[in-house]
Amino acid sequence: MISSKYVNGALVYYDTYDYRWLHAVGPTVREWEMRFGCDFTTAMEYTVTAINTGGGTSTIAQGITAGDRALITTDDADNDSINLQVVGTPFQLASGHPLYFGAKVSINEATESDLLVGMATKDTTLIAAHALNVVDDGIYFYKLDHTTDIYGAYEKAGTVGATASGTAMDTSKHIYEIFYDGVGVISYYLDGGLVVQAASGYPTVVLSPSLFFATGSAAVKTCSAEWIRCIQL
Amino acid sequence: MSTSSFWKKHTGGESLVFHEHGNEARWYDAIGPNTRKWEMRLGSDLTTAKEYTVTEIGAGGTEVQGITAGIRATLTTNTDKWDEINIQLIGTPFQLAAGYPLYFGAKFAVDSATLSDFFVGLSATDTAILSAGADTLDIGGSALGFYALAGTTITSLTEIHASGSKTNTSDTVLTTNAMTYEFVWDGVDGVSFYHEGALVGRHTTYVPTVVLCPSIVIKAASAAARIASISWMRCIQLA
Repeated sequence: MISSKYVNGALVYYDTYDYRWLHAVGPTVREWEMRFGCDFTTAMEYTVTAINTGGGTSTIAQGITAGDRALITTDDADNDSINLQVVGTPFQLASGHPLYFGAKVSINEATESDLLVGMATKDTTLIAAHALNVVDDGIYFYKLDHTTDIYGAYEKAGTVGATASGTAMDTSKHIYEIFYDGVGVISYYLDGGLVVQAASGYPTVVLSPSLFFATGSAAVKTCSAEWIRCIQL
Repeated sequence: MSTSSFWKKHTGGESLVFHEHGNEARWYDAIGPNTRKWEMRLGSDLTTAKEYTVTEIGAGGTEVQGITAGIRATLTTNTDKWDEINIQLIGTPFQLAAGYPLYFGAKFAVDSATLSDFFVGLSATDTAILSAGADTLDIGGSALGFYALAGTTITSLTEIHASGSKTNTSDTVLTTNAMTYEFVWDGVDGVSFYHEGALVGRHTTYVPTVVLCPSIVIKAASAAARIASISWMRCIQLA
């Protein structure tokens, strides 16, 4: 059920949960959403980094399945991957400026793959060799190769706080959401369930919406993004 | 003319649809948990393989952002008869399926009512929706939309490739004014087509079920450049 409310003078539309923001209207709203038909040529809308350990090329393209906006297809060598970030870093957790990040994403291999979705500082290898590799700061969900554990994580100056969600990764679409209340608490939700809340240890530098996906074996793997958006007041 | 809204239940939940006051078949916007929404942007990149696949039959045409108030894109064919510009959004994110209502609309003008061919609507990936070297359709995959072929008759179409098609004729003829072409998939079993806001027909047969992308094609039906000026074009699906 879609409802609306006023937050900081902006009209916010939300769905089911107070934190699941869909759209906001206001004089200083910062709203980004991955578009249908967006240009994935690197340096246009996104910085796209393909990591190819073999001889081929990992790719990201517009979705060809109903509802999907992007399709990542890795090449067929272990660790082949795509690292995607919006060009620019327009978001920053700061007092008085609540923020919502959400993404609905699926992967076609639950165990032998790496996934990171959220926001981070500029970084072209958010995961490297099946290990977290966020250089400085971020708020994100991730899972690593050889496990189906999904973690909610916040990272400030290289120090990571991570909490297992208790939900095992599978090949279904999942909704990853992060909400910063603009006061001092950041909350992580997986498919509508609370994973963790933190009142410290989260970054305060500028961040960019980010998506990373890698194959964890010598086989092509795919990641489909139905929607990704970030709204800050 | 003002804007109203209604709630629409569908497979993915319930969405808020903004529409023209008094006309629930003209959607402007929708807000919902998984809403699929595309609209040609002002200032969009019409270079092929960026946001759109642009195919010219008879090279030398141009596809540019509009320079007239309210125009998002201007397509100008080359100057030979049957020169053509075929534009499709990259990706095929839309699909008519039970429980997923969909709106498609476009407003555009052609500079000759009798010496042009056009198609506008949703189509499977297809670089020649109109035939090369003829004033005829050449739907390579499945499609639905409107077309006109070297005449002022405007026809609504649903077609499943290699299976069959259904058409209806609009009571309003093509002119060089900007005209509005719209259809609504009810999420059950039928597509209603509207030209200039008037019902052209409701199609319940040969409704495509494959993935589709917004598409527009303009063709010269004589040895002169033909121009299509697109005011807006959008597709909204509730999911």
